[in-house]
Amino acid sequence: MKMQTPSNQSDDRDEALEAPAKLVSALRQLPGEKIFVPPTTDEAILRAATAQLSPARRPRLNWWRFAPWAVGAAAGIVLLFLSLQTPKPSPGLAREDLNRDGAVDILDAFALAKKLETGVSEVGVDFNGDGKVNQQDVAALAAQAVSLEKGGHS
Amino acid sequence: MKVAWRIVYLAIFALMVFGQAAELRAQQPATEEGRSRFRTIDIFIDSRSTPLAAYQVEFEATNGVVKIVGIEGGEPEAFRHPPVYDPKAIQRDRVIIASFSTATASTLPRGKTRVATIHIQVSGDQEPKFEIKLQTAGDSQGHKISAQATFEERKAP
Repeated sequence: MKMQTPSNQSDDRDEALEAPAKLVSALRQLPGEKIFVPPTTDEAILRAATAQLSPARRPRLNWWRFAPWAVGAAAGIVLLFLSLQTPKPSPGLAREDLNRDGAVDILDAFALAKKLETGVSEVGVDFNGDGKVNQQDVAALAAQAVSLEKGGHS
Repeated sequence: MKVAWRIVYLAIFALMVFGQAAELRAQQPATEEGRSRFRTIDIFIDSRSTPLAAYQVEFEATNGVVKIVGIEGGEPEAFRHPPVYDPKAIQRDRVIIASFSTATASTLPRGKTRVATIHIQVSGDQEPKFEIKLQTAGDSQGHKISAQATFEERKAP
């Protein structure tokens, strides 16, 4: 068997190939005329092929549309961070519960009175909201301790 | 005949006068019918050997025939002033009283001490029933202490 390199030059050289006899006879029976293809069909096929084979265009993203959402998310993250950083008062402990025993009672008023007597300045509990911490705050705290509205012992 | 008419008129007049008087008498409240009386209840705190610097107690009449009409201070100097209480308690049957003293421990009372007195008005024939509950008590450092609250009705002199 003789090996031939593939070539697409002339029909004479092709005849030298040792192809199966059936294939050779079938090829010889083909009409020799060229089929006429109209140029418009050619162009249409070319356009379709170009459209099919060219890389798909990605839709353009309008980033500015997402700007409000991005700002909102950033603000949420900042707020979450700040809320985690801010020390929270222990649940159940009121501001008036100076001795931190879980109840607002006369002992809290007593504690405030003692602090005022000893001149401790960092008391920082202005219960009656007059801008000063004095005996009136002690009285306000004691009044809250015995209030019937809240049961007097919270 | 005239005399008879005068007698009839007098009878009608007398009936009207007695009827009005009976109606007025019927409208008087029950407390003014001689069944209302005033009583005095002394409140005690027993702090045993610990000096008592602060207390808070809840006093309540439980059978609905009592109105609190006044509250005054106690016996020792530390609690001589009337305790703190909610003014809404007056004319009601429940009160929370509290007081404290920042005096030194040596001048504070120990043992059973009369810290306050509550004056009440009892209406009706039913005997009043009371409950007292110590909410808190503290020493001169503001620490909670173990104590007992009791009440005694003062005997009439």
